Formats: sequence, C-alpha cells, structure tokens
Amino acid sequence: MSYITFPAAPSTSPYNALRQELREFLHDTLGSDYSAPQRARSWNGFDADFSAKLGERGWLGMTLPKIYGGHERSPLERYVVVEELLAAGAPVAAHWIADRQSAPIILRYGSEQQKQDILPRIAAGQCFFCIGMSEPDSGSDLASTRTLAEPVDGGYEITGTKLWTTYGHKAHYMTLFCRSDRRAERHAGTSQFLIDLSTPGISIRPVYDIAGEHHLNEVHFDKVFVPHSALLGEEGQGWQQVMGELAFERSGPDRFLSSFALLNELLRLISQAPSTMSKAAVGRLAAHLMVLRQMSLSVTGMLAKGENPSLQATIVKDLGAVLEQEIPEIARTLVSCEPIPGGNDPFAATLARTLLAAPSFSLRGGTREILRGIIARGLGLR
Amino acid sequence: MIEETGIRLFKQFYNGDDRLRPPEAAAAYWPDALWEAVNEAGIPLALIDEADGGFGFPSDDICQLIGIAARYTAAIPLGEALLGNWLLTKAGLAPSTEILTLLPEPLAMQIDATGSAQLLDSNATRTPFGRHATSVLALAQADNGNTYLLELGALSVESHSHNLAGEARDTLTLPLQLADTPLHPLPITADSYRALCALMRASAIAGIAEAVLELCIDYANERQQFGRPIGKFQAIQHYLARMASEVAACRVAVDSAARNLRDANKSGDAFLLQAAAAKLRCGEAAGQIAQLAHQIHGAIGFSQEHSLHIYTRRLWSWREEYGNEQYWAAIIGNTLCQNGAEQLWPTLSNTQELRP
Repeated sequence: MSYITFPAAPSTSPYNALRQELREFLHDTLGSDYSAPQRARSWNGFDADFSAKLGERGWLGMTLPKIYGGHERSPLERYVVVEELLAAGAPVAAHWIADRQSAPIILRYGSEQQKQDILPRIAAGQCFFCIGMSEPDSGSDLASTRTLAEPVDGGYEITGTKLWTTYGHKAHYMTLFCRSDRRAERHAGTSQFLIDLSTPGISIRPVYDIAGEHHLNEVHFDKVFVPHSALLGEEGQGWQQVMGELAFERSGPDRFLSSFALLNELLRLISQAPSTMSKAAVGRLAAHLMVLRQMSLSVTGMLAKGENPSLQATIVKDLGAVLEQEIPEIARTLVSCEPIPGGNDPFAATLARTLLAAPSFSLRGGTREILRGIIARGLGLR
Repeated sequence: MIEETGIRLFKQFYNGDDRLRPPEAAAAYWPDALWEAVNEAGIPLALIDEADGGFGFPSDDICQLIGIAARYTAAIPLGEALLGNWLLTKAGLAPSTEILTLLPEPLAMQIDATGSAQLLDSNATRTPFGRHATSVLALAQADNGNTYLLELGALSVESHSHNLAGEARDTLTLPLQLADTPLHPLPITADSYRALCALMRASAIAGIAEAVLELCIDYANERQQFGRPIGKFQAIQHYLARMASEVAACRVAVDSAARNLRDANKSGDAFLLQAAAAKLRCGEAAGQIAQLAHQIHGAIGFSQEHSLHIYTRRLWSWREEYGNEQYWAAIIGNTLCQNGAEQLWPTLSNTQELRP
C-alpha cells in the first residue's frame, strides 16, 4: 500500500480523572466571565501567572524525566491537558513554545548543564522560549539562512536578523537556527544555539500584525558573543535537529482548534433558533473536528511509541488549517453579523478576531504549499 | 490475517473487464464464483459476536475487509450480509448462508389487537442487489414503539434500477400481511440501524479511496509529458497530497466508529455520532477524491479505455447511500443543539460524563 497509515487512535478514557481536574482548574482560574473573544485568542494569550500555576500543578514538562523537573507522564496524558486548555481558550502563550518543542529538543540534544539549567524552569512554567528560524530573506526556504555564528575564541559571534519571532519580546531564551560555517551552503554547516535573550547586542523590535497586536518581533543580532556552552547539540547538525522537532510542532490539537471559540459561539447562537441549514452546517464542522482529533490522537500514539510520524503530523496540520479557515467563512453565512473587534457582541468580536487571525493558520509552522510538497514526497513519487 | 485472506480472495476474482460492461448489464450480472468463495470462507459470518458463536474478529478489521472487497470492485452485498448476519444473531436467530441484503429504510408497521402485523408501505426502493438477493432482512418500527427484525425471504422485483456504478438497486414488492413472517424483537433503534448501515458504506468508500490514490500515484509516475513524469509537476503533487490526506481521514473516521460497532445500542449517542461523522467525512472525501483523480488522469480517465471510471462511479454512488453528508450533518447538528453550547467540547471529545 502506498498510502500513509494512521494506526488506531488510543482512547483517552483512562485519563478521565486528569481531564476532570483540568476542567475544574480552568473553571476556577479563568472564571465564569472569561469571554468568547478572550477564548478566541487561542494559544496567543500571554499570562505568565497562569503558566506558573500550570507548572505548580504539574501540567508542564509532563513528559520530561523527573530528574529534570518533569513528571514522566505519557504523551497521551499531555495531550489531554493540552486539548482541554485549548478548548477552553486558556492563555497558554507564555509557556507554549517552551513546553511543546523547546523542552523536547533540549532533552534530546542538550548538554547535561543545559538540561539541568533550563528544563526544570520550563516545567515550573517560569522559563519562556521563542523560535529563531525565519529571516527577512528566509521563510519557507529555511536552508537559505544568512544569520551567521562565526566561531571565535571561547565561543561564537552571531550576526543576523530573525523575523516573525512569536513572543520574542517576553521570552527568556531563543532556540536559534543559523549557519555556523560560512563556507557551507544550504543544509550543511548549520547549527542550533540556546540564546539567552538578555545577552548584549540583541535588539528586539515589535512587528504589529493585521489585528494591530504585538506577538511577532524582529530580533537583530549585532556581533553577539555567546560561549561554547550556548551550542545546542552538535555543530553542523542544525538541519537534522530541526527536522526532528517538526513532528512535535505539527501534530497537536493546536493545529485544528484555533477557531474553536468561534464554533462554540456559533452553536450558542444558532441553537436559539436553529434552521435545518444551520444545524447541518455546524454538524458538518463538528464531524470534521472529531475526525481530525482522532487523527491527532493517532499521531500522539505513535509519538508515545518513540516513532517519528512526521508525514502523519503534516497531514493533520494541513487538514487542520483548512478546517480552521473554513469556520469563520461558514459562520458569517449562518449569522448575519459584521465582524466587530472589541464591543459588546461576543459573536461579532470573536468573528473579528478569528477572521483576522485566519490567514496565519496556513502560514505558520510550515506553509500549506510546503506541507503538501512534504506529503507528496512521502507518497513515493519518483 | 483477515486482511491478507481478504486481499487474496478478492484480488483473485477482480476482473478488469468489468469496465467493459455497461451499467445495466453490470447490474444484471451476478458473480457466482465470487459469492461461493466468499461464503465458503465464512466471510458473511465474520461480524458475529464471539458470545453469539462468532469468530471474535475485531470489528474494525471487518470494516477494513469491506474496504478490501470494495478495492477489488466485488459487486456483492458484502456489508449487508455481514451486518445482516450480525443482526440475525442479535435477534436470537441463526445466521444465514443465503444472499442476504438489507432494506435501507426501516419499515413502518402496524400491529392490531389480535397481534397481526401489517406494513404500511407496499414496496421498498433502492434495495442493494435486490434482484439477486435470496433473503431480504428489514428493520420494522411498530406503532407500539418497538423495533423488530423481519426475515422477508426472497421478494419479487417490482422494477429494476441501479446506481451510477452499475450495482443493482431494485424496487421490491413488500408483503401486504405479515401473517407468515415472525416478528423478532431487536434491541437496535432505527437511528442505530441507519448508522450501522452507513458505516458499512463508509467502509467501502474508505477502501476504494485507497485504490484510487494508488491508481493516481502510478499514473503520475508513468505518464510523461514535457519530457518528464507528470508527478514531477507541483500542481500534480499538491493534488496527490490533498488526496492522500482525504484517504487518511476516511480510514481514521471509519476505524474510530468501527471499533465501537458492537456497542451500537449501548453507548448512547457516542456510536451514532462517530458513525455519522464517518459517513459524512467519507462522503465528502469521495467527491474530492473523484474530482482530483479525474484531473490527474486527464482525458484517458474520462474514457472507457481506462478503469478509473469504475472507481469514481462507485465513489459518487456510495456517498449517496444510507444517508448523504447533509443527512448525517443534520443528525450531528441536532444532537449538538439539544445538548447545548456548554456541551460542545464534551460531546466532541466523548467526555459528556465529566463536568463541562
């Protein structure tokens, strides 16, 4: 068979008690007046206190070893926690990148010192990360990176510019991908670094998005000296290390729940006076969501077994973005309502927020075009 | 193991000359040798619960077997026979080696004071392989609120019809009085029955979807234009990527529902929602996949010279049967509205028993 297999999705009912705890915590912490527009921020809501509280409850760094401050719980338990947080629209931005992908790569490639320094703080919800990959001239073509870490006495001197750096302005560290051998090209001669963002020579400038909000940044390195201990993993192995991160980044419930708050508000509204058409439209979106969730759970099951389901994760992300972008377009055909940011109408505000965010769903974490190229290559086309 | 047995058997009887048979002739044709082989292998009994004397095969493996038969375009009511025999044993009856089919719609039935039953309809339309079936099963909903399984035997054909794929979908004459037909109480609601039938058809769609993907990959690798295989072009690669994603979604949707098949009547809404989602998702995928496949194959795929049409006509037929996407979307939407907005996430995550 030449198609890409998804094994049976594991059941999450063994973790009902954990799920119940999450729901009670969220009810108590977010409060009953946590609004739909707030929920619609999805994982873009930044709240350091909230992240610290999650850390206290043992819900961050869940799969990390206990010796590094983790809880040695399964990827499936982590999945249950993450999907409850996302469904509730909880403000998870502060710890999001650190917990989802920085901790796993530090665990995999980091030195003992790096693991001991950083992992416990991630698990405590007190150490925040951003990703240094895209540059002004390097988006989908990551291998064209121009940021250079020149080997110097005692370490490296880094010069270059990273762009679209989500929450770079509030992160403690950046996982930086750049060239470390100026004579090498493309994937060769690249490395990853753990950059302490308080290092002199780093300047961070806000990049306001379409909604006028500040999540993204431009991070400029002007001859920034970092010691050898900042190297993450092996010099020259940057590309391979980054590729290993992708299955973690691409497969989770964040890849199809970005518009969930709007779907929920849509249901709330139409159920007041449902028509055949509106019920069927919402029912259809729910069906797609249910199937995507099973696909995502299947990928988590594979991750739990130590497999590297990067093709399956790519499919989940591609289908997820299509669904997320459909939801606001369908919502506006069912409810005659202009999108109005802020204001008193929760549906109008949620619609506005989701619509403005929607273009990014098929751009971030790998554009639609790149994802489809990856899937095609996985089909054995010559 | 059941997968290998299935592939061996159905591949053996796959006949590429099927594409030369026009729909009417295809509907009239009954593959005797294939049915005999299927019966001999005990396949129609494969879904029966172990507690009722069955083999104890996992229900998702059986749904995969339906998909395998579909891949090899086996023109027999396999899903109907599997489900029919499961229903017979659920009603406390013996399974059958007849050519079994099911009436797609539950029948309305009246039972008078003397206990004599009468059907309110005089015929049943769109019966799968109706003219070939030697035993027709039906679910009947009586005015007393109970559901019964009826073994109607071989029914006479009122008129012939077929679907786009050239599979017989005949109108059968129903008996006026049910004096000689015992009423067997069956603990399956009409909604669950429809959902079970829909899952059988979704399983077939998932199987043939995989076959179409394989055809398209082979074609993209073989067909050369502008000095290279067309699979080198990004447009074609993206079509194939979308198709592979749709195929994967079908597989997962069917597997998820299939695993809960044996609890169809015990799990409240859970099985119903999953089967509904599976039929809806497979129905949508069917349309996407057919369109992409024809675009990739160009003119040759549009002709009878190539076998693509055998598959795409099945995709277009099966998405309509046992409820199309709109039907099942409405079922899901109704449930969500009834449960209320606070229950949306618990319903989608199948965790309604926990606090919202």
